[in-house]
Amino acid sequence: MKLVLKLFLKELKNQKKLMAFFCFNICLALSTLLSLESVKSGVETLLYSKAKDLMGADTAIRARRKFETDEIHKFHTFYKNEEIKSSEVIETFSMIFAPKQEMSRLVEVKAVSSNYPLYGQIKLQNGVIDAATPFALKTSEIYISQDLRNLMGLEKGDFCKIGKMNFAVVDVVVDDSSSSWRGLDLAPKLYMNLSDLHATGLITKGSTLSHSLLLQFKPEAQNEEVYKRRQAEFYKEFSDNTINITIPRDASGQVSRVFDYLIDFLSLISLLALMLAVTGISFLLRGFINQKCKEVAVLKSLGFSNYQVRCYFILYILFLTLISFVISYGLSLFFLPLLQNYLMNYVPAIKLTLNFIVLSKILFIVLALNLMANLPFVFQLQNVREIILLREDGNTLSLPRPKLSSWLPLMFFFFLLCIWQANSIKIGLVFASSFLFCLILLWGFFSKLLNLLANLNVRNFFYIFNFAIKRMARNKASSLTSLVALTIGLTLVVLITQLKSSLYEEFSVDNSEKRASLFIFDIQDEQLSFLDKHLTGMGHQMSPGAALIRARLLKINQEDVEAAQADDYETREAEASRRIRNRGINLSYRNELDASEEIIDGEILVPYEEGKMPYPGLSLEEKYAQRMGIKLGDILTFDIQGVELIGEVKNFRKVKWTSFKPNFFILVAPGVLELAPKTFIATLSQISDDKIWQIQNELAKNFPNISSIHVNHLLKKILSLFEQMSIGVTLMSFCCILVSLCVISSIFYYQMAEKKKDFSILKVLGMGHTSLKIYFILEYLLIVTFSSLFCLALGNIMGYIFLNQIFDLAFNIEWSQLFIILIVIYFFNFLISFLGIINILRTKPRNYLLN
Amino acid sequence: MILEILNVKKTYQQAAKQIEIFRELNFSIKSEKNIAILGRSGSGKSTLLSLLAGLDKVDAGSIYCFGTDLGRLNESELSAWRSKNLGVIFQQYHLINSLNALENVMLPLEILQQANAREKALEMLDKVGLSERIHHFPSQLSGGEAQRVAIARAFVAEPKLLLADEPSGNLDVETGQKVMQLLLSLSQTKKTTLILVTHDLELAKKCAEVYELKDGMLKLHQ
Repeated sequence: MKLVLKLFLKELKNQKKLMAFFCFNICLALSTLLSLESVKSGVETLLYSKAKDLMGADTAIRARRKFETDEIHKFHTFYKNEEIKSSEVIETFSMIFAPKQEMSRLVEVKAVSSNYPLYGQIKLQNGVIDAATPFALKTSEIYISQDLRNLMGLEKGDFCKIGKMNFAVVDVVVDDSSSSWRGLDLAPKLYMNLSDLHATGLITKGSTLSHSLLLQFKPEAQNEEVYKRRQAEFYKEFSDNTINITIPRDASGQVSRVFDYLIDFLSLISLLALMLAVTGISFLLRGFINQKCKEVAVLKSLGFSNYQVRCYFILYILFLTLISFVISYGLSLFFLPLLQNYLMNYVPAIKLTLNFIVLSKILFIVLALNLMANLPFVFQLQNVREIILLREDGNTLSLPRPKLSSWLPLMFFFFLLCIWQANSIKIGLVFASSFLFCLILLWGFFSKLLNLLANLNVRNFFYIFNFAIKRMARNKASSLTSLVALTIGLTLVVLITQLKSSLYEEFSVDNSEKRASLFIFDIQDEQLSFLDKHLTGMGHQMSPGAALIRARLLKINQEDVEAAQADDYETREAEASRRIRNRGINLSYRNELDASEEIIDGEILVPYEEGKMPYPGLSLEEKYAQRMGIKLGDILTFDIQGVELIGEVKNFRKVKWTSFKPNFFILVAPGVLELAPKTFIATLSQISDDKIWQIQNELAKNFPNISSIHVNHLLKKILSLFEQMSIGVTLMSFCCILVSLCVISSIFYYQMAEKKKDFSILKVLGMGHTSLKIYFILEYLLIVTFSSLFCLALGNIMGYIFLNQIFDLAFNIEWSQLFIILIVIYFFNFLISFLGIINILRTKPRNYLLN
Repeated sequence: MILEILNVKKTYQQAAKQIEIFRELNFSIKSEKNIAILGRSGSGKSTLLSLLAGLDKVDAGSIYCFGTDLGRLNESELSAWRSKNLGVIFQQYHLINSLNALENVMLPLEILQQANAREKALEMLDKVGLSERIHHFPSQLSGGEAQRVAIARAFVAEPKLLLADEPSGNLDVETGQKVMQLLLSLSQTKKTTLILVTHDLELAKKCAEVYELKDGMLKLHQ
């Protein structure tokens, strides 16, 4: 082993070029992954430390309905050993009308009882509210958020009407620890007293609201173990699955859900970039091992064992990986403060550091990837025999090609990495499979293409073109690696551009005539016909009111549906399934399906006739059914305000949610729920933005308990959030392209000696400098051209499959953006090859050709 | 006059030291013949070849080849001149690895944009006895075969001057002799002036005249 180490250290000095290319290839992808992991860990740490401030309690009991007084009493009794203080919060939506401004808008009303907040603080323009100085709002007083002030022009002292009551604005909330992390609010917020909320008349049967009981624990009970234990005991004691218990750990997870999705997705792309870099590295190391074949044969003839040979090369891989890791770490230290400054705009107080766990995790990943990708070549060295030294062509020994199956561990590891990084079996598998599919497809396609081009003899072509094609086609390993790396990078950019453009198109104002303009909710049964008449009087046609009946799913096939507690580690699917189980549901019924939904499996619902049918039919939205594990023919039992309803699942529906039409997870056959307590939802379509504000003002004046959402206004907010998130995704996809460019430029420069030799020969044969320049650039641009053509096809096909087949959205090709991207890529490739060619043109042929 | 070297001076910088290769080199070839230049390692054989091929510039003096002063030509004129007048054969063959034997031989004709490049190359490969190996790549050829491809490539454009740098240096004795015979017979039939650079006296003796490169001067070998 000492000898192996000695040889390795001596040889290291001769391999500076390999070392440089190795690092050049992997450092960008690695430092990106390190930075993302740092962001992820920074957000988790920050959120965990702020979790109590975010939820404002040690434990919060929540439901999307109003708790009864005896229920609240039972909760207090359950937590009597831990609780020292409590507070109640009801959040609901309402229209607010400002007479001075002659304006009404949808607002989120947060009605709080005394003691609020138990944790965290609310900064007002004039003072701070926290546990020591809780809310001191008098009757008919409200605090409004800055958003609401900006939206309506309300100032301190202004009056406004909410429901049946008039309120005075007494202060403006500058910062609120309970909502500082919310990416998208449906409406701006205001605070009022809980007692005032009841007086507004906003809370009626079936109103949209969320009721929370916030608890502060005794100091000795304030620990994770107690929170979790009591949470589990609560779920056992109270079987009502509409009630949710949130503990600080859950709260941080809930708040950062969107952020986590984004970071996980970005991490997946950075994994892809890392895989591309590893592909480039494999090419370089294969070349290096190939060069060393003769040396290996000599060493073996001198008594070196296969084990020693393997150790020698494994040392190389480990050393090079470690060196690149250290450089990447250095790069990340440089980038992190910049990234931190940027992120502080969105996540104040975030601190990005690279802790030991993050570093060891990434080091393990990169070591494992490099070893798994390159060990197949190292193991092939055992097939290099000493006897070859006696052959005439001993100088041109080459490494036997490893079997494809030797890379199966790498693929398996990549799949595991994707699942772990995406935190989702489904997303991880889809991502890794798509990558593998693209890799195999591209490898196969380009391999065939290169074979075809290698034998192509088009006499009419300009000979330099012909010559460049042949050179590209016959240097198969390097061309194939370059083509695949660049095409995968470009495909990702094309795909992301297309997805972005199609989503923009889907949510764009121009597309508004296909969806609802105003979404009206909380319409009471007795208001429906008046509202319809009122709107007709204004010259607008309201859609038929869709009934909304609040219910609770009790049983699936006689098995109780129990509320689920979060596990220490849960995948996205498990989390989504838990969330959907732990919430109440809205039922509806309709005689015929809306245009935005269609039955994809099962039979159409027929009106229920008691005595003739065992159960009324149910229609379920397909994804809801999947998450709940419900099949056709299953019997579901619901509780509707104490009355049991049993139904049989007759069909599954696909719903186009982006239509913003009133749609429901569960529809019940007509003839069952008509007499149940309910509210209504309705929409207005094809109305201009100005008219919508006018209608909202009218509704607020005449129907104060009814709320409405300006759909285009909401979509603008969604698009703005989407825009912010898409910056990260776009940057990461360009990082992937940069990695591909690093791969192909290192292949280009690593082959410089061979290129210089060819250049020298061609120069001696009389090829002019201009022709030589064209020849070398052409070879490079041919690779870019083939990659560009194929990435356009592949990116668009994948975009179509994702959007049209999976998300059911219209696919829209954004040619102009794609064109710009490709021009930029061509320019960069031209630049890289041109700089390389300047180096080649400086070559003195005599140094390469003459003795 | 085929070649005229007039008062050529050439020095090289090696680290801090300046090495003088040719102080005042004079030499001429008036008519078409085979010439061998003998010299030990470091005597300046390679430098002379690179100057004759126009791959390097003289520090002083001139080299006239078929009446053209090589020193007065720019890069593109030199390339055009080489493609029309010069063939070079190297000790290590130096074929383009990504091209097969036929394509390697076609290359000089394609650079000259000659229409019947393929036919001429096939004919040439036949002459060097490789008509069965035309689609083989350099890595698939033996040393002797590769050198024969290099000879075919050097002759295919019918250059007036052929420079050969130790053409049999990498081959075994028997193959080397065959390659030399081929080279000499082709230069005779094609009426090409051959300048053979070697350190092997026996090989050199096969040429019409043998010169020795020593102390920066070319002298007729006694």
